[in-house]
Amino acid sequence: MTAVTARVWVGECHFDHVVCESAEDAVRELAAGTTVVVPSFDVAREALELFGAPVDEVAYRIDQARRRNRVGATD
Amino acid sequence: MTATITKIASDEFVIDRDWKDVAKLQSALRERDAAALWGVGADLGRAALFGKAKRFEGRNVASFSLALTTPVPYRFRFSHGHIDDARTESFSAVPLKDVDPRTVEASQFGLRSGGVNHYLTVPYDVTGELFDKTRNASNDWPVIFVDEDSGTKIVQQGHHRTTAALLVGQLVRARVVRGHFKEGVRR
Repeated sequence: MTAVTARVWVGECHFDHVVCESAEDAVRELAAGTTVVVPSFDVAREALELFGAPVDEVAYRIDQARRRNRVGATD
Repeated sequence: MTATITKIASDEFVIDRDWKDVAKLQSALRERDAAALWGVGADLGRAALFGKAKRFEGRNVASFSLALTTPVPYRFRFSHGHIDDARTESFSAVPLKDVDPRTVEASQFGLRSGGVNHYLTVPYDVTGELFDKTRNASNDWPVIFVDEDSGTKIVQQGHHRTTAALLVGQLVRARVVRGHFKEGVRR
């Protein structure tokens, strides 16, 4: 379970959340104030960019989350 | 009930609430009663934290200025230097937890209005966009130290995020590291 941001997770999440398969669904849920879990970092990136997050911030957060995921660190 | 701050001149503002409400909160803050700010909302909270009476009509405050900095609303007894890093978990090794911002103390003295405003206006929870643009993994998330002996919780990183969460009445998602103070630190 890896958090990209407080309300965007990849894989699993231990808070109340909604599972979203697509970036569009995730954006809809994020706008409603929900924590979302998406299937991959690529979907997370797409969702954050669609939501309007700054591109450089998204790149940094995805990179940090990937690093944690690679070493097996859980969020 | 929410409040709205309106700018009426350079560094001069009004709020659609009786200033007594602001003054009451400021009085609580002088006693480091941060819980008084729980859920008061962005503008009433900003007025309480940064507002200084500027113009009076009779005995009533007609307008105020907003300071650039203010003391942190939390009790401040310990800094990073008091924590025994060797006997404290690393922020990178712990999962995220939701922490009640009414239950913490601070490890720094002040807040910047720009920082609090940032977290009150930018959807940080979704975007992760930080006020401090310095890329540093230790600041990616708020970090809250918990002393295993006393249970005291101290914000190590994320004072502005924690304060913003306090004003809007939300928990703050943080890395909670358990550990100990250095030997000889009086709690």
